[in-house]
Amino acid sequence: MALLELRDVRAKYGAIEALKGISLTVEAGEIVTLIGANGAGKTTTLTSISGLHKPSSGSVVFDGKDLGNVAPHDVVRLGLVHSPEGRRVFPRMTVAENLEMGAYTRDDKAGIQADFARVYELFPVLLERKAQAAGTLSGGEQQMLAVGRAMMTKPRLLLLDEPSLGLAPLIVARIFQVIQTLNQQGVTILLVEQNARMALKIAHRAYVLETGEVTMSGPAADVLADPRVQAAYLGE
Amino acid sequence: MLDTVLQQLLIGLTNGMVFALVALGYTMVYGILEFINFAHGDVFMLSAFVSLTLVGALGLNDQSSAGALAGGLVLCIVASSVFGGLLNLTIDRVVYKPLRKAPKLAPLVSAIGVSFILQNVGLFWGGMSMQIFGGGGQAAAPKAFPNLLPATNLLGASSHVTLQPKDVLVIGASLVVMSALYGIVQFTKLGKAMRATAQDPSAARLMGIDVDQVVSATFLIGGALGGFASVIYSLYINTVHYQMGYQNGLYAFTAAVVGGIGNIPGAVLGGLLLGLVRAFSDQFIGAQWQPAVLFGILIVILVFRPAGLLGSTAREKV
Repeated sequence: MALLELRDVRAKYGAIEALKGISLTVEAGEIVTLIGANGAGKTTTLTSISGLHKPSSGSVVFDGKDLGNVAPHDVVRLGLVHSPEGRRVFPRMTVAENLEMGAYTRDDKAGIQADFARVYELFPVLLERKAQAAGTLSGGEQQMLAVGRAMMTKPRLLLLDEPSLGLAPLIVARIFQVIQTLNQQGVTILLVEQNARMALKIAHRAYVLETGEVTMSGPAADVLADPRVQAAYLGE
Repeated sequence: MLDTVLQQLLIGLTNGMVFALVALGYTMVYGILEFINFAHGDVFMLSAFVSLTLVGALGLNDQSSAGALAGGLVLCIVASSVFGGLLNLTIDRVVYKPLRKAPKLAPLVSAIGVSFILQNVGLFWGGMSMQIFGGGGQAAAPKAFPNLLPATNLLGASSHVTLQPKDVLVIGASLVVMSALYGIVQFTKLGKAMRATAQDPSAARLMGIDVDQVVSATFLIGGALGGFASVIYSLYINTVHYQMGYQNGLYAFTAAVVGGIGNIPGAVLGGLLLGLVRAFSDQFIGAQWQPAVLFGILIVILVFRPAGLLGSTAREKV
């Protein structure tokens, strides 16, 4: 059974249908990426899963449980975390407090301490700046904090929306390296990216979204090699 | 001259503490919902009537024994704070919550409506017969709140500056309550959830924070602060009136805006500033000019700092 399964998910903003029946699966241990143009419905797919924007029809099943009636703040407790587009760190809270908010639903003190250590090991810059307000960090540091904060929820599935947006190439490489590390440590990842080439290079499988529908899917290497994808998303 | 300045400093500080406590209720709710709870001043007013009723029922007056007064005072503070908190929470549940996703004018107009309803309740409440104001014939008249603390001058009878036990009580109790609030907001799990929700409600939800619960807690705490302030105010001014929430609420709301709406230290700063400006303006310019001087200065402050004294105008990095 897949860790995450979307069946014919539709989502609307007023009269506009942003998702016109999306079906996809994510198996435990995978990195799956969603690629597509702006407005294709990538972010809406993620908000439909985390429940910030509930689907108008269709079902989202995580680990055998239908999320239809689960409030977004309860989804985290099931082991699914959504790190939203634009990082969305709490700007006037310190770095350490931001990470603490990631552990909001947990009470295993020892486990939380261990995860703090894990995040600081992965992103030493966050340790250096732990007492600093998150809003004063650079874009790359904020992205690291957003990923670290998501890790603090102890997720089994991490939804990552545009982690490379607006970052310098060196930082982007670092972020993608971390995504792979997390995956190797057992976190399943659903990655939305405008940087299709890099996403396809680290992903196991990929879905291509066009105006709210899945138009192609398969192993990431095949999608990367597809001439239509190369023409539309890789600029070749 | 120095005596006068010291005296006005004291008056401004005590009044400012009350404004600050009420301003906190406005600013905390605004910080989370970006909504002005215009009924907050009237929650403050009705809480004062709770204490007035209690004082009447217990038969407390300035002749009562020290033990009875101390006990009665603690009881008033607890009762009015609990009442203010629960009333504010109920108003949110019944009136504002169903309008959370409605256009912003809908909850705003509803809040003004609730404000008038509460004033009407205060008018009715004030009309009930109570021992301490002998039958309560005229509902709209201000009701005397007995002076429960001795009116002695702590600085000695010969001093030109008057410092009464009630001044000490207002300043001391306010500082204790404000420190407690600071501790809650800064260090507890609830307080951190409140800050996170105020800064980014969607991200807070994604971290597992139940935003509805945080909003309820905010109304509860804000209302309790208003209730607490109402006892302090009644003891200080010795008068309770069904429109006292309107004027004090407006001043406190202004204090919150001047301090930087949504900013907790800002509300305290704004409240103290307002109290001090008012005291000095009354002394040196004349009480009849009070509103003009006060709001004139506040407008000047806002012209130069539109986001308020401690409000953030700096853009956050994206």
